Amino acid sequence: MSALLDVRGLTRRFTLPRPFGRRTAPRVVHAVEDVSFEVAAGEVLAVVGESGCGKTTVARVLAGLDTATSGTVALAGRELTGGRTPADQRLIQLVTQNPRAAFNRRRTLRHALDQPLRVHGLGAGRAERDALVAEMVERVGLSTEHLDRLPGELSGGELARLVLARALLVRPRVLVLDEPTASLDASVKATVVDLLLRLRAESDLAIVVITHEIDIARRLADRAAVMYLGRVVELGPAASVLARPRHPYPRLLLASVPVPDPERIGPASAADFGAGAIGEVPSALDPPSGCAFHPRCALATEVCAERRPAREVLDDVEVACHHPG
Amino acid sequence: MTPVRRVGLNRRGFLGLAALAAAGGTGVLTACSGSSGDKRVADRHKDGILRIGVASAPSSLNPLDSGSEITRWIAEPIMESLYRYDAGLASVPLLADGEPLISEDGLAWTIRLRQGVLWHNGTPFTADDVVATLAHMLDLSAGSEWITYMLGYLSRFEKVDEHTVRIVLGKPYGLLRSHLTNLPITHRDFVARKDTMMGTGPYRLDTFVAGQSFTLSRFDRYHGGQYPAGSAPAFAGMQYTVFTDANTRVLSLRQGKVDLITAPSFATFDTIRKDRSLALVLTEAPLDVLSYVMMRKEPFSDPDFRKAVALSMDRQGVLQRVYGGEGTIGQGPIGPAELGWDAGLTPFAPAPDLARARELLARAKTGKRSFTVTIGTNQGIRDVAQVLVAGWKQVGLDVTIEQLAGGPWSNKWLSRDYDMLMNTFSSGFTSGPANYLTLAPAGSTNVLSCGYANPEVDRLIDTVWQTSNDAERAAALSRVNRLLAEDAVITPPVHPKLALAQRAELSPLDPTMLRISRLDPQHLRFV
Amino acid sequence: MRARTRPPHPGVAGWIGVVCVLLYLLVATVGRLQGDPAALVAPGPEAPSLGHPFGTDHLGRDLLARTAEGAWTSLLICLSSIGFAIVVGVPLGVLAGRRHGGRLDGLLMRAVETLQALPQFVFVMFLIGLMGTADMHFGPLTVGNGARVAFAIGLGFVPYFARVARAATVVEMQEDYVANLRGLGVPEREILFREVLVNVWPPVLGQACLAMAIAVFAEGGLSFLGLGVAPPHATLGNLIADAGGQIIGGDWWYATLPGTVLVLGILGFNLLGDTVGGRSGRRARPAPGVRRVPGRRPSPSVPTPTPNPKETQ
Repeated sequence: MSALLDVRGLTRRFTLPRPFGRRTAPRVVHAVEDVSFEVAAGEVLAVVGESGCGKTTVARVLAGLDTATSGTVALAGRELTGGRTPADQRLIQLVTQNPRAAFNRRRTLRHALDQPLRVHGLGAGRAERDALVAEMVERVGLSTEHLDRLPGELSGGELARLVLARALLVRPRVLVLDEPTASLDASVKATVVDLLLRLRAESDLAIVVITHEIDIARRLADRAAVMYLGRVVELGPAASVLARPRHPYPRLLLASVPVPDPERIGPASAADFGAGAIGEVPSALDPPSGCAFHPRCALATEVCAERRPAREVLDDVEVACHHPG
Repeated sequence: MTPVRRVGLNRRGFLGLAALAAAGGTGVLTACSGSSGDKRVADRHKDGILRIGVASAPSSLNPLDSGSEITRWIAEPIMESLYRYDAGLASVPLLADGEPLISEDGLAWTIRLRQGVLWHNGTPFTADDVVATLAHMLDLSAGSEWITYMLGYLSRFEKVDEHTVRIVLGKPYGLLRSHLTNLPITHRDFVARKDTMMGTGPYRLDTFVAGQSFTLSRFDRYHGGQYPAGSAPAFAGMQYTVFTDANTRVLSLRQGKVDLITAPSFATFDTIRKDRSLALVLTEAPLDVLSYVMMRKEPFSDPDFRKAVALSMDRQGVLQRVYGGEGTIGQGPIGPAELGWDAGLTPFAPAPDLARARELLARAKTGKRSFTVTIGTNQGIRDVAQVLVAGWKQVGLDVTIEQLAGGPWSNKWLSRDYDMLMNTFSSGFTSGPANYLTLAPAGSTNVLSCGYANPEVDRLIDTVWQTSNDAERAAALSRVNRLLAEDAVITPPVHPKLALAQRAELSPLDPTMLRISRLDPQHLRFV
Repeated sequence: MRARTRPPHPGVAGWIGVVCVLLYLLVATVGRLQGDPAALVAPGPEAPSLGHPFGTDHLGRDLLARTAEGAWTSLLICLSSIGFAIVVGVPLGVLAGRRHGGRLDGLLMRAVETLQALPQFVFVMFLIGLMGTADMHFGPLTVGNGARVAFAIGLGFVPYFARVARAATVVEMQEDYVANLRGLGVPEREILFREVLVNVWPPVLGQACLAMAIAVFAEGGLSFLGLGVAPPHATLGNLIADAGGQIIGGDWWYATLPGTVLVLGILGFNLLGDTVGGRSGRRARPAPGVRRVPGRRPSPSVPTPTPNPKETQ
């Protein structure tokens, strides 16, 4: 199946403003460096990583809220440039992290959902737009009585579903979700995950889910990418990458996920986390030389400090490591 | 955002305090009785200084340029003219020495000047000063209103010797004597200065705080120090203080802080009358309500409209409500204290004749039923205008009131761009017991002409100005008055009385001097 | 689609404010039934009586009728001045706040600060001095002094409203929903004037009430000094000015009663403004029965264009 969404060499660097009057070298943040992946229609790609790895920047660039420094984003073979027309803007929709903040607190949900239809001219008149909205609301598992409320009157889970509904109303081809479950209670998480699974089954959207919750990623994703300090370190089927990763970093991440064990009671200890201390993610302003992970890597050697590892295919995954496992 | 809120809170507190202060303060002030005043007055009089409270500050201290009553009142003890008015209001020499020598044809006046007179700065008074004063009068850029008296009549004037001046006229000018009795002579170096007064009078201007107070002290080398026995001025000095608020003025008088005030408001008359340490002075004086209509354009170009407006003036209302009945109903421009007054002239009844006015309006050719009356900014004329407007409304006339300060008001008069013009004016300072300037706009060729063209009126005005015969002048004035009244050209609503208030510890003001708008403070004394 | 918010619940001060404003409006309306404010109905000043509840002024005109005219005139002048200031100031502020730190922002804010350099009352007096107090004629249109006073006071308030609107806009533009709307392809103009503006109104309205109080005060002061509406038209300011001279004769009603009405107006709007302004930005309360996730302070999940180097997700 040819890819619907094709990202090649996506790079985004930010130049920080220099302190006034001081002649220093410009400081550049390498938020995203040479990221490439593909997502097919009907497929879910999970992008996993810790804070500071550049996942949200990737999401924003995909959705047209930010412009890449270099690299391309192509949809169904057609490249989407930095300045997008409204029609192109619809095609990739981003669902942001906090559903409550995603709506104008002084507008009803009905207005919020009607607005994108009206702006893009989808739906001939008021009545037709109302019908489309009602249909979508029901599809996400809510009723139209929720529509005449203000955001403040609804729960987080309801709002999460309505954000999704709003994004879907403009008929995107790609849906990018940034931490869709991070701000939700456990029980609500489950409903959202189910909704996303249904979406995957019913539509042919390419879905990119950005998350730091590995277990959610495992449930949702067909394929997964792991990012570290702006680069993709491992990319492949979710069953491989999220269960038996080759790169030391995702191994570290997985080892640190506590597995619920009803047999064990009592305080946790460092030994339970295995693989030694995790450490901190270094600053993106001044990344380590060579492989960015080498200061924290148990398998690091000299070559890791000197040369950045290139991406290689190993079985069914791509890995960027000098010593993949 | 916060700056507005902070101010709002402050204002609330401030308002509360201000309301309390206003209510309480005024109450306290009002409650202050005169009993403490007597003692204060006795103490104060030990320094021999007469204190006068006036209503406004002069905008210019040059009495040649400004005919405003406040400038002239301050100038009274300081400046002198060639002639003055005696107890019978006849013109007698003051700075001039004897009567002028007038040539046969009346066109050359030779005036001998008094010798030994000193200016307040010690220099002697000579013909150069008189020549400089006259020259300033004719200077258009000086903006002096005297120029209307001089233009067209004065050909030239020259110094004959140190103490003689000759004035050469283009036409016979009998009124020149009156002008020389009212024109203050200024030192040659001071004619253009607006920031001080240099005179030859019994008092000199020492210091002043602009807009607030003017302090005078006795000039002991007055006329070279030659006071006839018993006629030296009583006061060591004088002080004019400005109290713009009428209330404060009256209160200051009651408290004994001042000895004399000008323009007490009608609302305070009862209070003053009840207080036995005070005296209310009300006299007929040349105090005019100037009242002109522009006849060169609609609606006042239509005589029926003009007469309707004059007939529907609520004269009685103005007299009662604004002046408390103290004054005379106005007919023509000349009032009871002015030469040419005709008590028998009554084309207008005190109450407005609304029926006839409506008839005339119905007959009028002009369709306009609205106009603007431009007035000055003092309270008195404002009230007059409001009463008149309410009266005119009853015949369906919609009148707008426009208020302009002194300078802009005069400009409007000169520019001829008005419908109706009104203001209060003390004519006595420039005309003595008459009001010649008031009639000027009735002349068809006058620079201030209101558009009225009546050859008989023009002839009569020329007679008034040119004749040297007083009886002839009075008769001409009387006739002009009648014509202007009956033709509704100049019809002031009232001739108000001059109101002043003084303390009992001050000798009474001279009513004869008041009839020519003079306070004559140099002849008062403490009793 | 009209935004719905629950009306704010005023506290004690708010209720006093409401009562004051209502009393002010009551006098202004009921007084008009007394007849023509310029008509001379009595020979002179008279104390309050059944026929003339506020008494008569020094020329014998009914004072309640004149106070009503004054209250209405003052109210109209103040409303139009505030309205003008909002119409000019709010769009300026929104446009400036849209690109915080941009060129337009800098330009507008410098202009606004220049206007604010003079104390507002002095500035207004200066403007009136420039324009004069006589009626101005532009062809068939006559602009009286009342309109010019409203314009001058309004101009003095443009900086306040521009600043309020700008501050509110800057905050709003950083909210998530704005980024979301951009992502949805909603045009910038609609975001600004149909979504952000809805959230900018409440602080503006709060300021409007407070500004109203100041405008009533300013207009009263100007008329008192003779720079406002000309007689015989009454405003509260010039009524009180004329009344000053009457107190000494014992005519207390002339200054006190219109003065009380003026104080009611200023106080009332002041208190109302505190109430309305204090509630801006509050979200509606949840309907009973709907469970609400403990509210979280919305944290920006999308970084601003120049991000903190630590958070570049």
